[in-house]
Amino acid sequence: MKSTVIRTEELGYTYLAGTPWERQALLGVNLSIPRGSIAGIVGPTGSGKTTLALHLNALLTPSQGKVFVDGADLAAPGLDLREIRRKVGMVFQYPEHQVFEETVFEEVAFGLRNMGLSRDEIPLRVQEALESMDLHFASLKDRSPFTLSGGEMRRVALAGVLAMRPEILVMDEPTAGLDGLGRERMLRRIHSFSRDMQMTVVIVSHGMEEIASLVDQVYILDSGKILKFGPPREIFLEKEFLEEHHLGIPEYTRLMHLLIRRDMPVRADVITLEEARVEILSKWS
Amino acid sequence: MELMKNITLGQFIPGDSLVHRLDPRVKIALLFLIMVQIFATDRLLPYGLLMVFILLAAVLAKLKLKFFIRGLKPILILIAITFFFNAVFAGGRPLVSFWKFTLTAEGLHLGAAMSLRLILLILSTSLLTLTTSPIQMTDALESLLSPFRRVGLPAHELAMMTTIALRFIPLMLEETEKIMKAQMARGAEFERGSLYRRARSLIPILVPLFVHAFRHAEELAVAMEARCYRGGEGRTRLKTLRVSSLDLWACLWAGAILVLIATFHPPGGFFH
Repeated sequence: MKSTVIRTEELGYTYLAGTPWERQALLGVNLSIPRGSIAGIVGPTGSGKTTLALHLNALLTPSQGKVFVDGADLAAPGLDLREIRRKVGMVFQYPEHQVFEETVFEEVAFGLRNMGLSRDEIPLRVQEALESMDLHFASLKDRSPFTLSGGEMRRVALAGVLAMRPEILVMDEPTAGLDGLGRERMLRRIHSFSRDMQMTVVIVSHGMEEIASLVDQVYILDSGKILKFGPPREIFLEKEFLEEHHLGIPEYTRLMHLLIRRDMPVRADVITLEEARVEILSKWS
Repeated sequence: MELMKNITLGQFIPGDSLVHRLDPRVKIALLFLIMVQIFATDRLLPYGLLMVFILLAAVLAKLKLKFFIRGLKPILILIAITFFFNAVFAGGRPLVSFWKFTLTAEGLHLGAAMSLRLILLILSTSLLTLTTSPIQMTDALESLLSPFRRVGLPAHELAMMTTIALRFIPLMLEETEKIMKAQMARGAEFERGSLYRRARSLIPILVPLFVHAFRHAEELAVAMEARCYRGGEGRTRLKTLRVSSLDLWACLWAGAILVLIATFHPPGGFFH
């Protein structure tokens, strides 16, 4: 059993406490994420998933409960938050909206300069990060990030976080607004980079479908509470539950459930199209 | 980090109280009268009465008093500075001296009056914005400004611009918060180092914020044009403003109280 790197205990958060807009966004959330694993946090819009993600590198302080990263309580006084934020990289939703530098190179180097890295180290890391996002270093480094397309800007912004080589990478809907192919490629890049760097990854998404084949564990969040957690295979068995919470199941999983109802003895816990194909063909007689 | 928490000015809380149902033009006119009254007096008693009047109106509007009064928090420093400078530099009969400053009776009086004015101004203005929706506010502004159209004042455009500006305050704050968090996650710091470094550290916030504002402005313009917006000429409304008997009653009561406060102006010093 690998050690736990992120843990929350009865985490709760209230927005705008003491005003008429007061809203309980999280309630009694318990996470336990093993080192080196990929965890998904899935929930419909407004379920509190972004709020939860913000707690993981102390950008929000819990109203109730505790958050531990590597055993350190993030609310402990005197804790060096810069150290925590270096350890936990955070990619926000629409990260291209935080781009500000004059060149792509400087944009990616921003976090590295804040870390105080040496002059020789920075270009190496920038190049590595850009290339991991399938961006051509030599032709892009001197261009203004604002002349890039939306998808390229997002990859530059992601590279800016990856270049810092965080031990833990938290991403809030990294594929929002991308088309099917872009989405798939983005997830593949994230997967390969995080495996190379042995990162722990927490990925926030509004649907099971897109992250099912990527993650080891899924936490299902609705109305600020964790309703279920487990490997995606197990979660996919509960079709009614997923539909009730509008979390979407892939067409092939739906097909498997339909086949079972028609008395074809297939497994319903497939998580990729390929797996579904193999499963159906093996039972075809 | 929640920037929105302490800002009540310019926000609207939907409701169905007596104050919410008043004609916005009536509310603006009454606010104007209250402001005149705030500046016309410099005595404690009228200020006290005005305060009671405004707080009563807030209760009638079903606002939580604690929340309502917390709207003063952002300007507390301003109030303190105003009080201090007036109290020390106004001149007059000296009361106490300390270090290089001399506290005078006249100064104390002036300082207290100035601070009370600021407090009352903020409270009365936030009472208006908290109980009036942005749409009502535009309609009222436009209606109140329309007599000046004859001398070339673009009443509709001004009203529309004001509303959009007001509407964007919370949106921009939200965006600022988001960008600040994103840059903090990349190791940016805003409260460390020399003044020059701190000023520089705002660039990573301001550039994306401006980009966002321009993009938002463009999207809004397109959305308005797509719905055939072309200015105020010949435009009709779903809900036209109408002065009701409720408004007349409000005017009567508020008017009576204001007249009472205005006439209640005994000779003598601040505390009389």
